[in-house]
Amino acid sequence: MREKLNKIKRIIKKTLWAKNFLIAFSFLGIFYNLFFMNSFSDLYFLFFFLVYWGAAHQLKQGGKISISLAIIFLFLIPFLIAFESNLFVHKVSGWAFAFLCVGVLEHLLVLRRQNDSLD
Amino acid sequence: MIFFNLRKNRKYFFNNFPLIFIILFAIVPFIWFRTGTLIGGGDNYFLLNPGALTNFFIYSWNNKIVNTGGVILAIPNLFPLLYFWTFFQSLNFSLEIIEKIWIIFLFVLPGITIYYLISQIYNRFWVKIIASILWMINLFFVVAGPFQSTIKPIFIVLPLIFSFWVKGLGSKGNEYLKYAFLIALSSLICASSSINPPALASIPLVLIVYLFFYLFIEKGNIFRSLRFALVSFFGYIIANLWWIIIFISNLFSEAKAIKATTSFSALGEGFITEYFRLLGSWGWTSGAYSMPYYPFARFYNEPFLLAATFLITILVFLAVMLKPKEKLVCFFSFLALVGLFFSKGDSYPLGSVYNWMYKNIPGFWTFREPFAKFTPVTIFAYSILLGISTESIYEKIKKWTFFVKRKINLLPVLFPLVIIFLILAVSYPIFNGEVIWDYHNGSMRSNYFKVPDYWYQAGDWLSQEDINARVLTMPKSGYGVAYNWEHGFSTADSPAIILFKNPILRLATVKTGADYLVSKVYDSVYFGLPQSSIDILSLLNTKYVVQQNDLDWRYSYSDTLSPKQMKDVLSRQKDLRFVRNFGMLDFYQLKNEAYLPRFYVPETKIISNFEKSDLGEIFNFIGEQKRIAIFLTDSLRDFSKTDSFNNPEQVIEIKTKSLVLPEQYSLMEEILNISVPYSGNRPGGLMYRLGKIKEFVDKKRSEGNMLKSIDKNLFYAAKRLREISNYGDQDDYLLRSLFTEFDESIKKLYLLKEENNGHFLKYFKKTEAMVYFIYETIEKGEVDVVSGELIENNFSNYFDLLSLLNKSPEVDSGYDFVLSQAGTYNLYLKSDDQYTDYGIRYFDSGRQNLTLTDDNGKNLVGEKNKIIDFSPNTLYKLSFEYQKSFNSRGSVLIGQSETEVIFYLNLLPTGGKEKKFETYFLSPPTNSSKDFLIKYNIPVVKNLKVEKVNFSSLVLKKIGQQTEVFSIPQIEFLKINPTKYIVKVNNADKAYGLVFSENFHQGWKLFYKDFSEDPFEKSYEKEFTYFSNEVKEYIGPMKFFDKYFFSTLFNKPIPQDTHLSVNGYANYWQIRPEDVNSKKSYYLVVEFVPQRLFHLGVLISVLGVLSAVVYLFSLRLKGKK
Repeated sequence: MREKLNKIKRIIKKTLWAKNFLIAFSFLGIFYNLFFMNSFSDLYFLFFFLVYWGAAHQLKQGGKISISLAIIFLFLIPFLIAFESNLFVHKVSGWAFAFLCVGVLEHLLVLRRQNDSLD
Repeated sequence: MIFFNLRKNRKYFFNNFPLIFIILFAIVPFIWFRTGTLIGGGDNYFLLNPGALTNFFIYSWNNKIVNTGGVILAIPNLFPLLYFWTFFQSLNFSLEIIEKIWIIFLFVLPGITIYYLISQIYNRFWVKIIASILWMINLFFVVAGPFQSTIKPIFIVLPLIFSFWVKGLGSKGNEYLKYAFLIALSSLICASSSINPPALASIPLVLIVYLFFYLFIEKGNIFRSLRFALVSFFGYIIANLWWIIIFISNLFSEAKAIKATTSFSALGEGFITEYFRLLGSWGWTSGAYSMPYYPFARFYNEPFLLAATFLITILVFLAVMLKPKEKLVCFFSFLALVGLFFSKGDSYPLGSVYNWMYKNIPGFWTFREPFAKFTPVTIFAYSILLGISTESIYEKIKKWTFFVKRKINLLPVLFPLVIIFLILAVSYPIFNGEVIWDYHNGSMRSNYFKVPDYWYQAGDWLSQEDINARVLTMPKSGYGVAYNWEHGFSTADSPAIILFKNPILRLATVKTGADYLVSKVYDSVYFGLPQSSIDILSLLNTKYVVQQNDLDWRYSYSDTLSPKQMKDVLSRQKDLRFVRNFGMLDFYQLKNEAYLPRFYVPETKIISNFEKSDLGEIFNFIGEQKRIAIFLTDSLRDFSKTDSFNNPEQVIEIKTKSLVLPEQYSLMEEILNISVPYSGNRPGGLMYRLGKIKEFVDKKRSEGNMLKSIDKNLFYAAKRLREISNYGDQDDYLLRSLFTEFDESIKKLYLLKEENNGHFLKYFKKTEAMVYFIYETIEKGEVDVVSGELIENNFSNYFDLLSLLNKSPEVDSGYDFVLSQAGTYNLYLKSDDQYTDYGIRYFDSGRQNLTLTDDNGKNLVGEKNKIIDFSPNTLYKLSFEYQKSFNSRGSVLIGQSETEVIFYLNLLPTGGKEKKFETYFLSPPTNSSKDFLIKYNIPVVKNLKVEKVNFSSLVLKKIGQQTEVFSIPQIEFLKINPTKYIVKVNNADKAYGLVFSENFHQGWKLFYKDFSEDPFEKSYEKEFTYFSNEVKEYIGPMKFFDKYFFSTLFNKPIPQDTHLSVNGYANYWQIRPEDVNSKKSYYLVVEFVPQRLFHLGVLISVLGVLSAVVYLFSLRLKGKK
């Protein structure tokens, strides 16, 4: 019985920590925030920021992907401003900031690892 | 030589071509300059002539910026800002030229220092050029303006300090000392910016982020790094001690005042979208009157500028993609994000984090405009990252096969050139001059200004007449007013501060007593400047009033008068006379007989509990006397310490105490609010015992707080009642326990009353309600108790005790005041702004409680208890004697019927005795045709009385007989500098008072001196005499060093217990013969002692800086060898 419970626990843990699950979950959260939420919530933002970071951390090119996403979002902003979609544009820039943070932090961690290996 | 080394020179030229290119940008500010005008205004109004302030900022007591003097936080302005002007003025440069040099320096030096930084940490051609240009020319500068003198020096210093920081952290051996000293010396360049400490935050923020990066990413040596950081910090402190020492001592008092008086905050304007492209200032999209603050702001949402601004941002963050393994790129990308996070303040996303820091981190409230404080961090990172991206893309383009095959070398250069074009295009207002406001929009006038000559002429005339004379500026004006000068001039403060050498009085944010009095004078101008305001001006040591007819009064306050109205008001004053006119400036002088000099010995001292706001009213009771000293309530406590004053005449204003009216206090309402706590444990059981231990601990914990402790007693008394109700009380254990709680709470109530606690009444009501509630519950038989005697005795005692408390003046009504002297007083009552004589009465000294009834205390109770002559909105006193037993009900009401009641009160049991009851009630505000009756339902009521009570403001003036003739000593005084005065006293045979009309500060000390030679001789150029030669004022040049510089250093000051605040703002000393060796003629030195700290700070800084310079030179010489 105990073994079974542990097995279930491991499966749940594995599933939740699985990169595909985290990526899908974080993108779903970001997508929902961008297109369906009519307000700004720091708590929501922080939660999905951390989930996304968890996902990006597991990817080999997590930092690069995040920066790319940030640059795509930054690229979109002037067009969105031109079309005067205010709420949406601020949410996009918020996520661009989040992607930049994750990207840069991931790069810093890579640098640190490189320094560790040099030691 | 040049020809011989042509090749070498060419190489040198090409190596440093970027620097030459950057220096060429110095021509940009020439676009802004216009012949014959200066640039400035608004918050930068001091650009009228910063050098004029130098002589005032070398003192810790500033009587230029603060009305009647005070401490300021602006001393750091001295270097480099003020001395920059002073230096060039000493070389006879015109103000116009000096300002041009300053603006060019502020514009170009940041480019040069960042060039130096990049050549040290990432020496690439295009990186140096691009970074330097963006650091010099960006949207932040467009918003801040080219003459902003606080933030711009930080742009010069940040790259320098950062490069030394990087090198210092990576240095070996003792090399770190060199970089620590260089950091300390560089910090002096931005010392002026320290007047706004949060503005400097960008420097430590960058350094700390790099330190963490160095320690945790680069794995640097922690010990060496911290040692370097510590030495750098101490180096900074020593180099800047000249201002830090005074700044810190003034910071706490000033910060409180600033926090209390300044409501401005721009925590998070807009969203991070704008901050990405270095926009986001609170004023960017707002405006005033009919125009936006930045007329060009609208173009930044047009396609080209929108695309260009975001393209720069994209290129900035592309650097981390292009050079992911470059440590500096990662560091600067991280720094950019830190800068963005802080500069956006509490905007989305994660604005709540900033908000939390703002509310919870001590001192973080100063970052109330985060955009201005943290954007330099973002730009710093942006500049370097953009340079690296551009260089990297340029290198990639160069390697394209298309260009390589065709050997096209120049075409790839187009890319960095396009980037330069984008940077310049984005900041286009810098190039078309729009960056300098040049519109006429309400009180916002052009930043180009020319000071009319009459201002200079007036300033010269004033300083020739009396350079120490205080000048009040008129009309009423404050922050953000406009002057109708040739090009206009907008200013945050009076230009007279800069253009006149004299101390100025003007409307300022109220921080000191003098500020308050000055504001009261301005408020009264609209009402014709009553004589009491002129008297206040006299107390403020004001000599001149200048009417500025060139001030655009229409854009000042709603009660600001026009020049014509001002002329009417000023020329009507009997104590003012018109003396001179200069262009649009009219000067009025206080007549000699109305003028009170900076130092004087008062003839009459007035002790008063008038509020500062009513100071002028005191003059209603003192006739024509001018030579007075007024001691207000705030100094009364200290006053009692002084010896008895000579010839004291007291004027004491007693205001009506806030009356406790029965309709405000309904016992029934209080009782209804009582909730009896739940009790589920049977007394005697284990859980009950445990509960009692918890109660004991609970009460012990609340012991320190009297109010909480009473609450606990009442709570547990109610709990005991519940227990009696639930489980009975056969042995009276619970009842006794209940009474113990009451005993304790009533004891504490008496203590509250004794200490005049402001919460006394509230807790009295709570206790009375609880006693009454429990008494009623027991009487009604709702709980089962055995000992009836115990109940009767205890409750009888409680009602007595509460009744005694109820008779205390705090609960009762009337005029409640304290008299320091017994004697006969004349009473005046105020009605319709007039004081009427109410006759004479004798009072003992100490606390008094007085009720003044109208109509000589006539009883207004008529037939059938009808109140006769019942007037609306009038205070009445109701009194009677009554007797009420415990188990009977009794109440009294006043009304037109049982339902239309204006007053109702339950009466407490009297315990078998007759008791007197007194209370007050206010009649309804409107008249009524029906009669008002008094009704009660108790059998014994005697001496029922209703009296009309007066509750106008009361003034008592002591009628005193002058017991002996008081001979006033003669005084002579000379101002050495704003922190030191020498006073000569002659013929002082008794104790006397000395008033010094500068703002009260404990730092002012009085030293007794017996100079061997006359310190006034040859030290003065002019003299004035007042009060028939009894006061003589010498006017001489200000001296930072004089021969008496150290004269008081080892002397003890006259005891400070006689140093009091007088006249609502000034200093007063009571000088006793024993303080001056019982001499009749002697000298006194009045010194602002904190100035010694400034001297010490300057000395340490100069020695520190010299040592650092010598050390660095010695290193250089060693290196050359």
